[in-house]
Amino acid sequence: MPENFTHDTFSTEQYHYDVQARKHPTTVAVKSKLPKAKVTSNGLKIGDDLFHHGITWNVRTEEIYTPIYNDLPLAGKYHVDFAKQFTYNRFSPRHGRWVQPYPVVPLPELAMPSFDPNHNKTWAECTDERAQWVKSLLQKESNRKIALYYSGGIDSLVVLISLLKALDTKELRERLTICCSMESVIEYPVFFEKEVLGQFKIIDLKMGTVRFNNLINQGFTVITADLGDAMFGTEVSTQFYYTFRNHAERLGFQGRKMVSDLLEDIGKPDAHYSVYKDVLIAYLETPNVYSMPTKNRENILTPGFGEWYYNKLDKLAQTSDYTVHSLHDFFWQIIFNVKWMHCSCRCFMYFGDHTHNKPLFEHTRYINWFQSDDYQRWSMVNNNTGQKIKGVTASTYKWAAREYIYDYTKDDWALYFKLKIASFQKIAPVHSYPHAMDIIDRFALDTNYSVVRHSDPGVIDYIHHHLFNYNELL
Amino acid sequence: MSMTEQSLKELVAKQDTIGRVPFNGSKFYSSDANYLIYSVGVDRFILSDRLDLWTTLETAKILSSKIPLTLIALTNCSVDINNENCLFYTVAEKTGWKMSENACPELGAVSGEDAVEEAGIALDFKDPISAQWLVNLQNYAFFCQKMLHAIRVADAETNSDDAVFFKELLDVGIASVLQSRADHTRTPQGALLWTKRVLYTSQTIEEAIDGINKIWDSRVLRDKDIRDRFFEYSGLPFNPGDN
Repeated sequence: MPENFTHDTFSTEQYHYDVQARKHPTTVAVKSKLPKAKVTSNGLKIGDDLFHHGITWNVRTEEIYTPIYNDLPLAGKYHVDFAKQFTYNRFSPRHGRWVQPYPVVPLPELAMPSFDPNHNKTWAECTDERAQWVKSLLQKESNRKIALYYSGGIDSLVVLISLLKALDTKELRERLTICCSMESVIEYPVFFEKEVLGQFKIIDLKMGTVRFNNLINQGFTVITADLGDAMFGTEVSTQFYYTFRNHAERLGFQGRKMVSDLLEDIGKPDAHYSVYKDVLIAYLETPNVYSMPTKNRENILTPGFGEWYYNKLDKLAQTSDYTVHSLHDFFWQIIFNVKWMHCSCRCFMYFGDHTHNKPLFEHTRYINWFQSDDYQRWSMVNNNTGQKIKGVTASTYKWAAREYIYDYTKDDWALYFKLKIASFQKIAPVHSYPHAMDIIDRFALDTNYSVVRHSDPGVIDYIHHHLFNYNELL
Repeated sequence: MSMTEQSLKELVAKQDTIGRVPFNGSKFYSSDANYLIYSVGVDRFILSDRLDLWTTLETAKILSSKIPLTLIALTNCSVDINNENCLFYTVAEKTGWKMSENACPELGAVSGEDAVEEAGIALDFKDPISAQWLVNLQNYAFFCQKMLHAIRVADAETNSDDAVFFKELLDVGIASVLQSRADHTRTPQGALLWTKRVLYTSQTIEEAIDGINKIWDSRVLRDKDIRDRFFEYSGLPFNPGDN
């Protein structure tokens, strides 16, 4: 495989960081002198297209957004409010109407396939066929070896189990390496002891110090299950269902039965999401409802943020060719459509060091497991079939994946009680990286597949220009 | 010149080192404290214990091999939540709890009459099969809690040989030059840790009892005191093994 990666060779000396702060990772971000990587992109010129961009609140973006916030047009303020309210939501639309300040074009390899209402493959069929495809890659190229990011969570379990089934020879299994951390074991210890330990090579990610680019540089094809959430919905939804009654009662909804009935209808196809509009708006603008407070964050949102966000999602639903009807669909479209790029790119954008990433796509060196047309079409036709969420709580979320796991493990504990846990930060804790300050400097992916930093030439001007000229609310 | 009782009292009264003002733990410790193992996924309490925060936290950690849990210390609340009815109760204010944070349990605290509420059967556990698994979970949780209370008290009463505890307080280099034992049994790493290990990795109560019996097999055991106490407190029938 001819490859021509240009990347930053990682060295802690490359970045300025505070040794004392490293001992307390949560305070890493609180320092005055911000670092700058040696290898950078060409920067941005006003009007440049992007594949993807960040909307994140941290000490770097705070420096950029805070001085201009009060002078921004309303849409610009709401855009910054996204960062405050839902940090790590980096939205780039793949389909439908979703206006934003920067010109964004879809990354071809991550495009959404057309909606096919007749798609009838099951979750198990999509999964087993995907595993056979990986097997065929291994069979075609004898020097290809696989590194699977394994968290012990539902999504990466699906991947591993399908590979356990598909890789049916010793030679093939020897080319699969499990990349994990102790947290991966803690998420599902019995499975790890029985199916992984002693059966596969294991790479300890060592609290994130063994990173994506290390694996690529060692010649691995990296598989992640990052897009698993996008198949089923998002934890923003299960968190809402969980707190629904509190939000409803604060708005004056009276009577446990009415609130309970509303809650039980959440995943039903005959209950339109607009029924929940008032409660949704309250949820979407509740301070710190779904973000990690930082020392300097002021989670004071511009009035109307919740309603604006609701209307934006409503517009997206109405302009998409898949059907968005129930409340669970309403949340699902966030991650399946506008957040897909974030889940697809974060491995190399934030957990890796390569500046130029086109070879990853050209040589299939980076496999987002769920980035297949079949999986995406499965997700589009399975709204409200009980496959994404069987009931209304997190215990039945990702039901099709739970059943797939159960079919192999026969483990009732996992079927009924395993929860979706935000695992990636556990196995790759970016905030404790020695160069965490560089990571928060990363702003976008340009159309040359290069990571663009805030400190690259012209980027601050680019942000200012586009935020100040962002007037279209919906 | 010897110290008088009065002068010692005066000396004590002058002290202002940190720690002279006792830890304010009223959120977690009080005469009415109810330690509740809570599942955000089920959205109900699984177990109630009024004896010991730390044993209950360990039980939650041990159960995390099967379900992510949180330990909640409930204080200043007259609602009688116990092991007979806790499956019908939940925390009233949920906006502070995140659905998807950790597999490893953490400790939280709620206080007051309105901090908990009766909420009926958990929403997604109303069919007979999943309801049975909820009861199975509770059975296993109660079993773990009882075994942990028993082994912790038995160990504390009889074990003056826990060198491992002290080794961990010292430089890691010491471990490489000196061996240490956790108790006077011959169980690797000690009966206390091994009991937890059995509870953590077993899938059923029956499997766990088998594992516990192996710990106390008379071919392995040297110290009968801790064994006798453990079986007395745990209520398990003692199975001496083959010899």
